[in-house]
Amino acid sequence: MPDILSSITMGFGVVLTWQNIGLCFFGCVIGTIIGVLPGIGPLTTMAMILPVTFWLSPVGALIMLAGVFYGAQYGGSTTAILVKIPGETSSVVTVLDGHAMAQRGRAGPALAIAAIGSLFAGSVVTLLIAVAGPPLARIALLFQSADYVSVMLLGLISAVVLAHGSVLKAVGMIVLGVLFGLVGTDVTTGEYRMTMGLDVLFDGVGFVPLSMGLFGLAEIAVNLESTGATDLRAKAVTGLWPTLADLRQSFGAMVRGTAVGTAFGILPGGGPTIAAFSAYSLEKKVSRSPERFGKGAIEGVAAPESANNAAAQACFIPMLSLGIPPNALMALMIGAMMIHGITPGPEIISKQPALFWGLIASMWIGNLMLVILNLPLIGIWVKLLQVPYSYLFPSILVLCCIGTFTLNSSTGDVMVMTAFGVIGYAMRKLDCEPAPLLLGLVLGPMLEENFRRAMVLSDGDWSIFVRRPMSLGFLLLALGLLIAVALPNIRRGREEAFRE
Amino acid sequence: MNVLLSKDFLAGNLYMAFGLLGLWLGRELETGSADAMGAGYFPRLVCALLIVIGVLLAATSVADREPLERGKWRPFACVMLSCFAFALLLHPLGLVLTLVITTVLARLAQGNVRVLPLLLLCLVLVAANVGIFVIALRIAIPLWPASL
Repeated sequence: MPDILSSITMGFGVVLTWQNIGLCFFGCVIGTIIGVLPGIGPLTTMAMILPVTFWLSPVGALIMLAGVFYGAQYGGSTTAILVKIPGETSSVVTVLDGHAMAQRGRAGPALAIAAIGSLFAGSVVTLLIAVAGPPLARIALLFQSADYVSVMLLGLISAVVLAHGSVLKAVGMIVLGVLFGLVGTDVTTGEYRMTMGLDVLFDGVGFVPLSMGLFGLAEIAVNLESTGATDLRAKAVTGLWPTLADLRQSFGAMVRGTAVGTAFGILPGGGPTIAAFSAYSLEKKVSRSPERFGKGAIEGVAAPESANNAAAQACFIPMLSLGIPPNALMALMIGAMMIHGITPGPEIISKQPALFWGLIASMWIGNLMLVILNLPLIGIWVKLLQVPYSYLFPSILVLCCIGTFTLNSSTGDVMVMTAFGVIGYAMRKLDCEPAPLLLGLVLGPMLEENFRRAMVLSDGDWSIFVRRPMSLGFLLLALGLLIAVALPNIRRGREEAFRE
Repeated sequence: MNVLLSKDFLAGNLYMAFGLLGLWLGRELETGSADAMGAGYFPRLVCALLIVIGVLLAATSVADREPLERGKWRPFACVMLSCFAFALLLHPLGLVLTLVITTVLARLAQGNVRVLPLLLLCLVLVAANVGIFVIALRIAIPLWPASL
């Protein structure tokens, strides 16, 4: 315990410099802005500012990117409650009760509970990362190549199970991502693979051009097809503070929401959105008066808002302690680390303690900043919704182009981005969700390296994967998951969870 | 409805196409054996898996088909063209002119273009991006055409 305390103190020492506090604040502000604006998600934004972080220290870069991610969870709820537009998919359920509360003149308490719930969840999970991260990393250090292959397969398979839509399509997207990840120089033999002789591809398909194309460009092109005019006038917010009864009512929901959110955050393929949905339906089930839900029940705001923030932070646990990203956003964080020359893996905590503890401390400070940013300044964020999309999207496009260019000073990268924009557009039209592809892209090279090493160690004997107990355990878990999705009533439950 | 235009059938074909493309592009890579893999072993494995998934998807699409809805060509074309133009024009024209062209092309993706707000948007974007990237971050990007 004193060990953790001294480490956390060191973490705060890292964050409490003007530069890092500033970056944390900047990240939170950007996160809030894109959280408020519908149509731009944290993934696109993090990809867009990734090139800018190139000029920062590695800790500063990660602090800022993390701030964008959890800041978006706060911002998304604001518009969900006030104008019935969820800024992020993870705030979709908050609309149900949050907006109902706003219509009954209780927008203030709804916003406050959303912020308090998020802060509560954020603080609990930050502590959990500090406590659970180092021991988990020690276990991960015992992993051999075969175990790594199996745990990655488990991760990829549960990403498929939790993705919505067709399982087969999601598997295809992951495999396609792995394939894109293999393009470029083969680390073992030094040969160029599938580069079509283009020098931009010698170092592989760039993470930034690919994600900007798939998420930024394609999303904008699809968004522009639907031109629905919406009335965005928000009612004035009066009386921000919740009553004591409100707090008492929502405390249990916050605790349960945090627990659900943490579980879904750690789970590969999980993330804020599914966590929020699950927390809401759990709350409805345990409530003594489920008929109030959808009509302004404060638990219906507290639970999903705590859950999405808990999940947003809990997914840092596998990323930091195992070096394996549980979802596309963490894949992007890994991409950011690699740009800074940090190899993700269980060694990070012991070899780069300042990075690990600094990032954790920054999360706590960031959560506090976000409460301050979101409650008193709420009017400013709502005004943002009045910025017309016709100004917004050209600005985003220009930023995508110039951001991608600056990464390597290469217009070739901008071409690659455009090509992935076209591919991403086609995928969206075919209902292929692109997020699993990003996971495959990052895990692909790691998977190949460990697979090769495992096979060399076992002299080409495939049974190595079932002979090592840890590896066998992961594989059995993965198999169990696959069987579970195939079972008809679980599949029905899964479809319902996404429809609600 | 035409089976050949269902989303699943087309998605299956897309996967197959990428798998085949991968095999073809990596045709000269050495496979090796399981205990001494060449550069082509794992890529071939992945491509084969992708093709199998594509075939399965296309085959099952016969039973459960959802038609492809029509996209709109204008937003798609303008968005992609504006980025393509940026890549193509940055070196001959320099940042300022390229930004203006990219912005105008992008804005054309939506109808209802008015000249004055568009000019203002160009001005703001040029000033902001030159400010951030050239002045603050000192990235070497030519501002004007080389011959000037």
